[in-house]
Amino acid sequence: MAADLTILNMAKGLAAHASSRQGLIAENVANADTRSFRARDLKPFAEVYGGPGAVRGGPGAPVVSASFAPSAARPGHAGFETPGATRIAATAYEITRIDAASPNGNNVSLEDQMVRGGRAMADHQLALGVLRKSMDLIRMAIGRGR
Amino acid sequence: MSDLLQGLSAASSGMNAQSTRLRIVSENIANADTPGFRRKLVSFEAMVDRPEDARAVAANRVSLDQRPLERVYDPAHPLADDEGYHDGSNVEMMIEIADAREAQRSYEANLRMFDQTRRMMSSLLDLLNR
Repeated sequence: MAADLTILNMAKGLAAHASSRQGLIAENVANADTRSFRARDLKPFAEVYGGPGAVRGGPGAPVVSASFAPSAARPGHAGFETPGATRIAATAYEITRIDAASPNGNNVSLEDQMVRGGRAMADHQLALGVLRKSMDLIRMAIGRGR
Repeated sequence: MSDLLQGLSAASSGMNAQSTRLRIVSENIANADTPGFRRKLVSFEAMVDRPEDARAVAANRVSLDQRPLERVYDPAHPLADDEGYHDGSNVEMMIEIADAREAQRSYEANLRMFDQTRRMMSSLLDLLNR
């Protein structure tokens, strides 16, 4: 318990990353036939974790910070005004696939997006499984049973 | 969670746009033999200017194909002119069928993304219900 629950933070970060990714992939698929649309994706979690996105770096640092922090819907909303909080769009990169480019400037490959979506879902399930097990452990530790 | 909701709305906007496209295609096919019919075209636009559904898609205005109409020789037709020709339609069956197949494929992809996102959301909510 003294380890300030690093594993929960990590799992939370992975779940947030996977759901942001899923949102981006859904947008890509929705625009699969829109002209001059470029597909986007997030960097893998392993690259983001502990990188410049995390406060002070290192595996002990909270993962949910600049890279996928919640953004305030209105600037006046309290609590969300962390410096450097950006939308996920800022860390998203454009997928470059020459083979998927169409004459109208669209480069969404549905097959590629399906694979990416499968990976995002697997990551999400992994993160939720870790969260669930950790919560069970904590419950057991405080004596409530399962 | 909000990302997942945004994904759901993007996927449903995609399904909406694709079904509009499929409707236009079937209108074209239905009127392939109508004299003077110009085939309708639909174009998609990313709705970047609406922040609430950031990069959803919408079917834009329908326009008419300006290619010249086919001239059909049929002297018995009531619309035939002095030389026995009348205007047909400019619908190409091959193009319409290909367009319909592409719309179907994109619709199914959107449906899969919708279902997958929905399942991710419900497993997240299951965690809260424990």
